[in-house]
Amino acid sequence: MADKFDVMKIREDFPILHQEVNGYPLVYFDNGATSQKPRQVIEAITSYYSGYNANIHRGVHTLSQRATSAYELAREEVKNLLNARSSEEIIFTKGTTEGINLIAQTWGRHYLKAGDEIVVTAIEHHANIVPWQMICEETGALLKVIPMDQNGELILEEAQKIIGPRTRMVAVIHVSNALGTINPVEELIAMAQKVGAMTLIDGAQAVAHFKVDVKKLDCDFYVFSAHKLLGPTGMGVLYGKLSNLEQIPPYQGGGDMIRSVSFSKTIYNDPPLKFEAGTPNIEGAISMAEGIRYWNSLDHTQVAAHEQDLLQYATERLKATGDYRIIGEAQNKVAVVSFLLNGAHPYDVGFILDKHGIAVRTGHHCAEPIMQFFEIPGTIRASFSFYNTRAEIDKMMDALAVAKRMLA
Amino acid sequence: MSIAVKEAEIIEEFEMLDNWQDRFQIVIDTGETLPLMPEERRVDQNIIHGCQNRVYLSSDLDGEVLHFYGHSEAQIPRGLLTLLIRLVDGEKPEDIVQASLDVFEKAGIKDNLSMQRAVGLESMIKRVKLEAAKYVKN
Repeated sequence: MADKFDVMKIREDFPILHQEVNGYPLVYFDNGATSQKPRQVIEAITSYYSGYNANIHRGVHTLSQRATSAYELAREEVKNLLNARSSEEIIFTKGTTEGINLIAQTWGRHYLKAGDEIVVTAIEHHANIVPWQMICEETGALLKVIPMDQNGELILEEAQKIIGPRTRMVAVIHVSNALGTINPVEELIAMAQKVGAMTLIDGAQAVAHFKVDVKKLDCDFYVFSAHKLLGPTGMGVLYGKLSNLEQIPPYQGGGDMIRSVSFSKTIYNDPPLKFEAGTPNIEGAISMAEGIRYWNSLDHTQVAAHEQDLLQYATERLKATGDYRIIGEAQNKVAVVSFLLNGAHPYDVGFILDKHGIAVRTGHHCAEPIMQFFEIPGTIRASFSFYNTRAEIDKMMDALAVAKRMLA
Repeated sequence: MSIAVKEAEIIEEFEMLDNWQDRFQIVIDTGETLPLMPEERRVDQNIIHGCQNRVYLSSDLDGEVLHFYGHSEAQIPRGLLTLLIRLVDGEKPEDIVQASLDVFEKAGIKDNLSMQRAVGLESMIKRVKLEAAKYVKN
């Protein structure tokens, strides 16, 4: 544990990083969109399909039992990652988006009435806005929004006024994908609990940067996607307190989610299977677990220090010349820097960075209300991971200098 | 000047340049020459769908020929749009409909675009042809 954080050694585990793009060594700064995968995750997928591919939960044969136990072991791995009470509280989904839709469509449809209020924030990803708008339209509930300030921080005094007796759900993004802000979810959860409202935390951008403890947070639901935490796409997690999961109706009907079926009466299974109809993403769960094991093998104090160093270095370099405007300067941020090159459209800057082998995200980052708030068409977002280096930030700055020459 | 002649001119201009940076510098600089599209033309119905950023195009018939107006906030799409408008502005609708408008391939510009951006460019070309087709009698 006391070993120095060796980023070059870690990079050896990520095959994709060792390639040229447009004649330059790849610099991958789009980790907020999806993380790259270590060799161990890629191998877990291959070894599942070449060694023990079978359908789970039903078969008595050996392969099915091996696949079932690997799948259920993945649930244990997630339970430990989030520090949930039991693996029954871990539901496998397609991703963060499905997790939010699941709660909106089951809990929301069952419990919401006209005049009830759902509270989100001005800093949400579309995935934590649209599912609530849809259920509001259906039930007559209303969507309320906690505002943010110019630094990209939520205004808690306003939250205090908005979260009230009509609030049924407070749904908040843990870490902003567009700005990197770490939101004070503990305070918001406490406010929600005071008025008896449910809480859902969108952890898509959080789990790959710091330890999340759902017991300590005491939220009702927590959702994330495997692919942002070294795992595969099409796989995600919905954590829910067991007492909640027992009460809310199932999501989709089909195999695996039932205990018995007849034409007169069907009895549903217990959670988590109650929410997992049909053959699930078996290799997704197994390889997600491998990604979590890889993550657990790292020293998280060192990871946090390394990522904060990258954030600070990139911020300093961008601020040094006065050519850039950083969007989102919250006190508590993960290693994400959203910015604009003065006088240039982010779309054009993204093009020129790509020509230099540098992958960043440009645009509104599925968070149009944030761009409307800052009155900008979008940003250039560099989102770092523990496998990135200061030398890569230098390369980005060199490419930005070319962009400035060509555009500004 | 016919579309073919203007196309040959553009290709000649780009052929001399052997790297993407010089080519796109020309694209960007060309975009600066696009006359400002009047605000009232920048309406939803003139947005070209398929582009990542907002690109507008509209046209007017002036006697026998068409005049085009375009706008984009981003410089590279604006440059591409300007080159496209240079080709077709002042031409007859039936000539525009029949033109191949593949100057971007021939000038070595399209190769340098990512898939998504190439789709955006295709959408611009398609829109120009649709504008012209409105005035062609079958």
